[in-house]
Amino acid sequence: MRIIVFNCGSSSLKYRLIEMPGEKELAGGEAERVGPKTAESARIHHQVAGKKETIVVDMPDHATAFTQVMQLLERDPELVPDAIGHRMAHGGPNFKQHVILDDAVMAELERIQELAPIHNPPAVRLVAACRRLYPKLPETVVFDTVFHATIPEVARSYALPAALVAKYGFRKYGFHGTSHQYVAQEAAKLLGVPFEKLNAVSCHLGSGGASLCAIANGRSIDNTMGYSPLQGLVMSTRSGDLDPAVALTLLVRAGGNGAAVEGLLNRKSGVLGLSGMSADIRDVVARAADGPAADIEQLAVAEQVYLWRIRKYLGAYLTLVGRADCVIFTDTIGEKLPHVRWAVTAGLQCFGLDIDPEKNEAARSLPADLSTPQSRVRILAIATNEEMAIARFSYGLLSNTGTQSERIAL
Amino acid sequence: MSTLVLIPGGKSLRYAGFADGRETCTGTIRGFRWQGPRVALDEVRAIAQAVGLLDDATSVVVHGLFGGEEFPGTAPLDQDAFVRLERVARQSPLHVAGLIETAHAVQEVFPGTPARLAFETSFFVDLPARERTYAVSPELAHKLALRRWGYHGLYHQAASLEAGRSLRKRGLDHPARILSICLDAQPEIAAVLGRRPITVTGGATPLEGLPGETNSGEIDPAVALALAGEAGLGPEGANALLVGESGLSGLVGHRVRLGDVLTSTRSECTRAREVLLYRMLLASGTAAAALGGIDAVVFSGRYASCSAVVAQHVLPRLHRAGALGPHAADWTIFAKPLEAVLADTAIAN
Repeated sequence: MRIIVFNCGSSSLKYRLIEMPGEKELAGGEAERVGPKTAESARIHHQVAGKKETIVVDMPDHATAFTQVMQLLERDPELVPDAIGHRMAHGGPNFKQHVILDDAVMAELERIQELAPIHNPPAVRLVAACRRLYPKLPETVVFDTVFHATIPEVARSYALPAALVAKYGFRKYGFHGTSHQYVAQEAAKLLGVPFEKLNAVSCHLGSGGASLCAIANGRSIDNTMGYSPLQGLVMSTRSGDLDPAVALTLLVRAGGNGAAVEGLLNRKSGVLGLSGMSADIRDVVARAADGPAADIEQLAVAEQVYLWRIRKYLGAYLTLVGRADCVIFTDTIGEKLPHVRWAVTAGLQCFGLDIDPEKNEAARSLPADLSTPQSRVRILAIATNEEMAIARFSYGLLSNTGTQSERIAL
Repeated sequence: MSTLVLIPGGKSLRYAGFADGRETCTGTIRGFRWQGPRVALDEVRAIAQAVGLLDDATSVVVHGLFGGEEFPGTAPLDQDAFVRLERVARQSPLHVAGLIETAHAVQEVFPGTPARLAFETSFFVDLPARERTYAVSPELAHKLALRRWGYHGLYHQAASLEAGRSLRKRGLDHPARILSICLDAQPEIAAVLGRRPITVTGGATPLEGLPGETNSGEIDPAVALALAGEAGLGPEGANALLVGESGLSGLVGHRVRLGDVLTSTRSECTRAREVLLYRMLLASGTAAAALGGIDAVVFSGRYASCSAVVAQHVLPRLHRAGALGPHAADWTIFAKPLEAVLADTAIAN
């Protein structure tokens, strides 16, 4: 079965065609600058068997981008998909399993899309377009929140009046679940531990979003993100944790314009806000080391605040998990920045973490074990592959070999 | 030497007199703000005189919640203090305005008696930049005087000092790594290295951090904005709900005290207790990571007598994770009330 996996961003569409169950990647690419015209042309970077090509084409919406990608694949009969797998950031309170798309699922997706106003609406529009244009292709929807459906009630509760919570659904959802679950499963294989016995802290440190996940017996028991992806770690442009009174003060100063405050906290804060020069922590680390003296103090603080928040949550989750088997680093920063891995784990021998500086610096080919032989807890760098995870879930649903789709109660 | 301690609150004034380390009087004057501080302080003066407290060797200590960076320690109540209080007033208008009013009344009611101000935030003035800084632009942080504080610094400082002394007597040869847990109406956890705090659960305001009797504690900032917007409460209404109707009371469904939640056998308190203990466990793990391990755990605060409930939940888990050093197997209670801690600050000065 050839499954095309779509990972829809607000102005991009990543895709990967995967042959299942052999997990062979047949094609992939990314449509960029989807939406209104920008200074540069919209284009698709398409790759088949190592051969790359770039196609410049107008893509005013994700439906057009999808059509273009399908036309590229259909040039070769061996690359025509049998099914479509979609990534969806937020599954709301009712999607506790990944699902095969049908009318009821579609209606629920549309109902809950404003829970993640940046991520869900373009993905929902893409799902609708796929249904309309290729009605015979089965589609699955894989949610970032599903892995976190096991977070216990005590951990997902905010200390708010019950009536208010019941009315508005304020609770922790957690995000990046597909990635956390994928790397945790890979870690279990590496360590020779059954996944359902694995205790770990997974650090998904992306160049954009980032979160930590506490995993006990293969189940998510906490995640640093909350009701929205704003809570938790310092991210590229998101503030992460912030005194709620400060959010309300900002709201007063913005004349009650909630969208302006959400914009400030989601798109102008985090590493970008702290550093004033880049949303990418890699730039900040490099400039803090070698940049002009005038910038160094501000950049050093930005770096320290970013690292310190990770370290603090790492301690909290190691305590929660108890005897952890491993700490996992993944996604762009977690996979490629040894300095970050070092800074957040060094000196945590009390938790059984002993990172080997040479292994850490040398880790290019992943997965890699970065810990010393004496380390009670293994420190691993594992490349995430959300598209592969989505293909696995989708194949499981469609071939009836995996977890059955759970019909939502509407 | 004798000391009169004054703790002005939103509605009442607590007072206590100490002579040669012994408490000679203590009480609470209700309707403090309503009557005006002068009336309440006249009453305290009469009580103090009745027990023979006021003489030439008496000093007064006035408690303040927020002193900002203007008050890195206790300070004499003089003209300079008023100038500095005016400067910090915009950062915490309600607390500081009330304190200024009380401080003027103290000068009127106790003329010629040396008086000092002691603030909860002073202990946290030098919190490391990585801990005190929020991830917003420095320009915005400067404009709002935005940074993290702790709001039980007097307890944390006194309790960690005592715990550190005890550890040194037992042969600890490095700066003590202390997990300080203050069980008060708004509980707070701090990590103290030697004599310096390096993390604290409090935030820019006392709202952030652990859930309190009526405070929500930490929530997703998006929830605060949704309360103001989607729920139609507006910023002031949302703030009032988060500060006054949430936390443990919000979870239970009616007004409760932290001590009751920790010790009650009533089922209605179970969930609130579990949420509180869960957040305390996370905060303790955070402190352990910040310190690189824990040498001592010390409890303080109005509900320190309920420490066992917290200790039994948190310590075995810290131990299992490996975060407790060999000295930390036993936890201790710093039993002094805030009044006595404040009196000690007068002696120290």
